[in-house]
Parts: sequence; C-alpha cells; structure tokens
Amino acid sequence: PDPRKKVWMSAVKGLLDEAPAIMGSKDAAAKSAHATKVFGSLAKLSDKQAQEVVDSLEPEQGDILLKYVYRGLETASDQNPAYFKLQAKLVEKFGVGSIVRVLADRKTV
Amino acid sequence: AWGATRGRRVPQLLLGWVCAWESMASVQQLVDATIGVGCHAWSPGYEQVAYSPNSNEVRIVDATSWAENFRSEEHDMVISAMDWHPETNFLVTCSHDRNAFVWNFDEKEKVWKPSLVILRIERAALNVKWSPDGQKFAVGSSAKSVPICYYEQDNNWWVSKMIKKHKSSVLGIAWHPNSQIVATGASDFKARVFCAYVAGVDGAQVSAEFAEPVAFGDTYAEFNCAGWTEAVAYSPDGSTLAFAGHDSSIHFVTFAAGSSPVVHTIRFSFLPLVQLLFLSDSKLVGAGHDMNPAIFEKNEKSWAFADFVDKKKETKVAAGGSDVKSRMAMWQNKDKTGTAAGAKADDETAWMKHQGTITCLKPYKSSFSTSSPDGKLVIWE
Repeated sequence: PDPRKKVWMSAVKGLLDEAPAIMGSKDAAAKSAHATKVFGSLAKLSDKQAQEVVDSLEPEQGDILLKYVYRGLETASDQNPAYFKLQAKLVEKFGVGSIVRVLADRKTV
Repeated sequence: AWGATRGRRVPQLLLGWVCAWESMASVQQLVDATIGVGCHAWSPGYEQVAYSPNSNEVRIVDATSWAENFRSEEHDMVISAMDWHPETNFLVTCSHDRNAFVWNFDEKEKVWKPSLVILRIERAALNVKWSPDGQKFAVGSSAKSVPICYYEQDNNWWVSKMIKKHKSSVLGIAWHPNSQIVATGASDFKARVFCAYVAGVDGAQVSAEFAEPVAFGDTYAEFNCAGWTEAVAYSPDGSTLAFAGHDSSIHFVTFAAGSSPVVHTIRFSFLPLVQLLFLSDSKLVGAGHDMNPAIFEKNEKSWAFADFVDKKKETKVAAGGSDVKSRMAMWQNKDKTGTAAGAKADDETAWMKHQGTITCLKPYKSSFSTSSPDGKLVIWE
C-alpha cells in the first residue's frame, strides 16, 4: 500500500470538517468548488481505503459525506459506481436516518 | 413455563383477540388495513376505547368484547385527533373541518352528547390534548395557531383563546403538568413553550422552572430543529421537554430554575418519529415511520436510545448445511428469486405487529398503546 495514498483519506476528512461552514452559506459557487474538491479526493481512494474512511467517521461527518455522495450521483459520471458503493457503506454504518437527513436538511452541500 | 408456551397461540373465547406471547403485546385489528385507524383514546378506566377509522366518524368500542357501544358522525371531515380525560370523562375530538367537539356522557340518559367548539381557525385542526387538570384543551392547527379552549359557565359553551406566533402548521402539542404551560412543535422547524394561563379558569399563575411568568400566548422558550418538529412531550415532573424532528432526531431539553435550558440532541439511524410519550421521568417511547416503538432512557446524566419494543421472533432457520439438498435449494432460490435465502427470508418488516406508520401513541395503564393506518390497535407491555 502506497503511503502517499493515505494523504487522500485525511484530505477527505479535512474537507468534511470544512463543509459545515460552506453548507451554512448561500454561495452556490463556493459550494460547487468545495464539492469538486471532495469528489476529486474521493476519486483517489481505493475501495478498501473508502471502507477505512467510512469506519473512522463520526455520525456528523458521515451525514455530510452522504450528502456529497448524493450530490455526486446527481450527474452522470464515471465515478457513479464508486458513489453507489460508498452510499451502501455509509448507510450500513449510519442507517436510513442519515438518508432522511440528506433529504430533510435545509443546509445543502 | 415461558419456554413451553412460546410460539403457541392460545385460543381465546373472546372475539378477535390474538395474544402474541413472544413480544408481550396484544394486537386488535379494529378496521381493515384499507381503511386504517386515524387516532384513538382510552376511557378513564381503560374499559372502552374511542377511535376514528380515518373518517368523520367517532366510534367507541368495549375494550374486552370489542362490541361497538357508540358511533357518530358529528364532524364533516376526517377526525385528526382525539383525547379522553381520565378524570372529567370528557372526550374531545378535532377535525379537518376546523372544529372540535367535546363529548360528554350523560349518565341519566346513557348517551354521548356532543358540544361544538368553534375554534376560530381557518384551516384544519391537527392535534388536540386536554390539560392535565382537564379544564382546558389545546388544539394544534394548520392555521399556524393554537386555540386554547376552556368552558365558560355563564354562556354554557366552550370558547377559544388563540396562541399565534407560529410560522407554519402546528403538528405537536404537549401540556406541562401545571396545566398553565403548553409546548408546541411546528413545521417551521421550531419547538416552543408558551404560557397558556387563563385568568378565571386557572388559579394563581405559576411559571414552573422559568424565572418570570409571562402573558397568555407569549413564549417562555424556543428551540430549533433541523426538520419539522413532529411531536413534543413533557416528562411527568415537567423538568424535561422532548421534541422529535423529521430529520430523524430527538431533542431532550432539561429545565432548571435559575439556569438556561440545556438541549441534548440525538440523531439516530432509523426513520423519523412522529409521536412521543414519557413513560416516566427517565423513560420515553417514540413511534413513527419504522412501525416499531423506540425506547429512550436517561442514564445518570444523558438520554440515549435503548431498544425497539417489537422484536423479531427467533425462527429456526434451516442451517446452511453443505449437503446436496440444501445446496440445490440455494441454487433454486437464486434462480427463482435472486437471493440465496429465498423470497420470504429477508422480509424486513413482515414480522412486525404494525404494518404501517404508527400515527397515534397513548398511555395505557403503566404502559402504552399504538394505532396505525394498518387498522390495528396494539397494546404493548
């Protein structure tokens, strides 16, 4: 396992921690830019690393990551199979309640 | 003795009862699942139960024989909620027709007499609760207001006094034990605590854990919720207010005289709750879209989810042996149904007592009962 690749796992977590501030604002451009960064970092993760990331997340971070997954699935892209797998992993850990929060939360990503 | 009776349905002489020994609950199919039960309320001694079959009808049935004692169609539109006070024996029903009726059982004539209450709301009534002392009732409405109704002796009728301040439909109502404070949950993402003191009906005004008493309709406290605030409930001692949000969350607010309220939020992994009831000062049950009552308990300082009440009975699943027959069965299942275990094995909700969202939760003796659009009334132990 390439130790350099571990950087992307902590990058994802860092981006998730920065997300609440962006979610609270109404700046669509800022949200779009941050989402692009998240998608870029997620693309660099292998399946196993994605599982590790999900295992290490707190419930709040899990909710935010699920919101990005749903945002990513809104457009057709090569990343979608990976997003579906990630969604399954997140729901397995955090339950359908996290999906309800993606739908109900007025603060969007 | 339990081991011997587990899994065996005990035949009942009385009509319609099915007693499930496994999960300690009694299920009664009041109406067909295509009709559903909108709401229910127990009589003071739990000998009768009133319910509405998702229509403008009020029905009162005997809780042992399930014989119908009373049926009436005073309301014009579907009855959204009802509440039966354990001391005054008054039953109040509210409806989408913007009215409420207070039903009084005349002991001499042995009939139920309805009294129309003009709520003065221009939208549907959604929820109704008697105050603990039975002198007033509060109605949650889609008109963004909460009429507090009390009886005016001089005019011999019920009048309403309005609490406004809400920005959207009021979904949940709960009275503080002192009958002067009422909490509401609304779809404007807030839970609020109001003063509902009515001079002449209530004695001296008290402000419970709050510093100063305020005027009728003013807020004592306001709390945010990330989803619609579907339900609110007060603990028996009035020190804790719980409210449930549509974002699969529940919030416990602890009030203490002299300090600001402390909110503890729990975001849980299951579907949202739409009804809440405190079973004691340290135990709360919530029910909603998971069709399974959820118990929350207070351990020392904080609240946490404890368990679901309805449990899946352990079935003797044929062990996945490696003999030819079971492997053949596995491949046949995969061919026919796409899963190795077969179509029925993974049915996640078929074993549950309720087959629909639980929309009404009421206290029953020391426990609680639930009803749902699946037409069932379930009494839980």
